[in-house]
Amino acid sequence: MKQVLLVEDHQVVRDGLKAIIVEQGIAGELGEATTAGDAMQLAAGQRWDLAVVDISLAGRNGLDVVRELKRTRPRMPVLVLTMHSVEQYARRAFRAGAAGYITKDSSRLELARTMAKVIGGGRSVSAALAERLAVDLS
Amino acid sequence: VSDLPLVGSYDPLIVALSIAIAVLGAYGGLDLAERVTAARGRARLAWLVGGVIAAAIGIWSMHYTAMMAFHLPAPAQYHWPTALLAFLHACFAAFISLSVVTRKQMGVRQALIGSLFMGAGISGMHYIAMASMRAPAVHHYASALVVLSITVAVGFSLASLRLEFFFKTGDRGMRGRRVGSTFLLGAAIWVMHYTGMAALTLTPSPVRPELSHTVPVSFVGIVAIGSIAVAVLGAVIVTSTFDRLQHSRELLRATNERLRALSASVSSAREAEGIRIGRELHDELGSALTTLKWDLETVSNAVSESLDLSGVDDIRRRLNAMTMTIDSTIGRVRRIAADLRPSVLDNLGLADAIEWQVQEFQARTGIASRWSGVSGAMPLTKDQSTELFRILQEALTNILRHAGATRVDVSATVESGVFTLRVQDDGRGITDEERSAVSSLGILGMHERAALIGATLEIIGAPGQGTALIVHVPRSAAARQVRL
Repeated sequence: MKQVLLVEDHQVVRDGLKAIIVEQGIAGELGEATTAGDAMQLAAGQRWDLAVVDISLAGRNGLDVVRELKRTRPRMPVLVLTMHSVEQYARRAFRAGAAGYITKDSSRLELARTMAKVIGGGRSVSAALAERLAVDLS
Repeated sequence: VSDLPLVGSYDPLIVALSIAIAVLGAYGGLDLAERVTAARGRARLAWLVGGVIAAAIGIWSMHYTAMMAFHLPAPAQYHWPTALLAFLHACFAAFISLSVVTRKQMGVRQALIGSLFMGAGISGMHYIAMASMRAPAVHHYASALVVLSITVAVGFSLASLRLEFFFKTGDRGMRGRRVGSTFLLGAAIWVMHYTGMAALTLTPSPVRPELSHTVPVSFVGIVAIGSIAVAVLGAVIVTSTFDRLQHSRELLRATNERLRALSASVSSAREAEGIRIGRELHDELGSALTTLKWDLETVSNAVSESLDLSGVDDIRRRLNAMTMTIDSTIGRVRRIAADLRPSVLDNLGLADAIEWQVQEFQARTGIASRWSGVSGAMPLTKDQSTELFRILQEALTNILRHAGATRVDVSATVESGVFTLRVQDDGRGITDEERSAVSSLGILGMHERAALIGATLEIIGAPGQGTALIVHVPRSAAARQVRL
C-alpha cells in the first residue's frame, strides 16, 4: 500500500482529502502534518510515496517547505494543493521541485487522478490553472 | 544793480536726470501703495508709509536735481531747514492722498480728494522749496502760470491715481496700467516743476542773502540723487521680497489644500472599500451560502421522503447546482482577498506580482499588456515593493479610465543600484493641466507613495503618443525610508 503525507493546516480540507484518498484506494497509510516543522519531522522519519502540500501554511512560505521536503527526500514526489489559481505560484512551485500543482476547487475525481498520476512519476497541473495559462498565453 | 531779469540756463542732461527721478519716485510710490488696498492693520500702514516716503523723495529729489541743472549768473545757496520742511509737506500731502485712494471702495470723490492732495503736495513742495533758495535776487511770479502749474499737478495726479486705483478688479492690463500711471504721476511732478519755473522771474537784489543754515546746490543735489536711489532700490527690494514670500505662502497653502484633499480622499476611499467588501461578503457570499443551505434542506427532505430511486435524479441535480454555487463562491472569495492584498506580492515578490497584475489587467480590460522584468534580485524592501505595486495599480486604473490606450508596456530595470519601474501606454497622452490639476488626487497619491519610499516619480505625456510613468528608487532610498 502507498503512503501519503498530508501537509495542510485546515482540518476540514485534511478530512476531505483523507476521505478521497481512502475511498479511491490511493493510499493505505496517511501522515498528517499541520506545520512545516511537523512535516519535516515526518518526512525525515520514514519513506513516503507522495507529499501533498498546501503552500499557504500559516506563518511559513509553503514553497520553502516544498524545497526542504525535496532536499530531505529527493525522490518523493510533491503535489502542491492550493487556493491560488495563479500562474506565478505554479511556476515557483515547479521550480521549487513540485511534481504537480492542483487548486482546491478541483473536483474529487480530478484530485484523485492527479494524486495517482504524481505517485506514478507523472507531472500535472490542475484544469483551472491550465485554462488560465491558455488565456494568458493566447 | 540792474532791473533786468537774471537769465538762467539749463543743463539738458541734468534736466533729463530730474525727469527720470520724478518717474522713478512715482514708480516706487505706486508700487508700494498698490499693496495698501489688500493689506490690513500694521501691514497696511507700513505699505502706506513706504509709498508716501518713496513718492515724497521722488518729488523732493526731482526738485533739487532740477535746481542743480539750473545755472544762474549769481550763485545760489539753499536753506536746509526750509528744504526739510518742503519734504515734510510732500510727505503729509502724499499720505493723505494715498490713504484716500487706497481704500477698498474708490469712487470719483476719492479720486478727486486724492489728486487734490497729491497736486497740493507736489506744487506746495515746489514753492516751499523755492523759498529755501538764497541768492542775491528777487522772485517774481506770473500768477497765471502759477495757477497753471498747480492745475497741471492736480490734473496729472488725477489721471494717474484713477488709472492706478480705480480699475482694481481683475489683473487684465495691469502692467500697461502701471506704466501709464507711473508716467502720469511722474509728469505731475516734473511738468509742474518746470511750469512753476516758467512762472518765475528773478531780478538782481542789492540785499546780500542771509546765508546761515544754508548749503550749496551741489550738496542738496547729491542728497537728492542719493536718496532717490536708496528709495527706489529699497522699494524694489521690499516689494520683490514680499512678493516672493507671498508666492511661497501661496504655494504652501495650495500644497496644504491638496494634502488635505488627499487625506480626505484616502479616508473616504477606505470607507468606500469597507462598504464594498461588506456588500460583497454580505450579498455575494451570504446569498451563495443561503442558497446552499436551502439546497441542502431540499436534499435532506428528498432523502428522507423518497427512499425509492425516483428522487435520485432530483437529488443529483440539486447537488450539482450546489457544487457550482460553491465553485463560484470560491472564485469570489479569491477575488475579494486578492483585491484587499494580493498574496502574490507577499509570497512571491514584486516581479511576480507585477506580472500577475498585468495579466489580470489584460484579461479584465482587453488592453494588450506586456511585462518585461528584471533578471536577478530587486534591491527593494517590502514597503517599497508594496508602494510600487500600488503605484502600478493606480497607473493601470488611470490608463483604463483616461488614456484610451490599446497597449500597455510595463518594465522594470536595475542599473547601478537604481531600480526603475516604467509604465508606458499608447493612449492620447496626459496634458500638463491634467498632470498638475488639484483634482487629480490619484496622481498626487502616487507622488505621495513615491515620496514615502524615497523614490522619484515622473509622468510624461505627449499628445497622441501616450503617457509614460517612471519611478526611480535610488539605492540609498531604503535607508531613509519614512516609517509611519
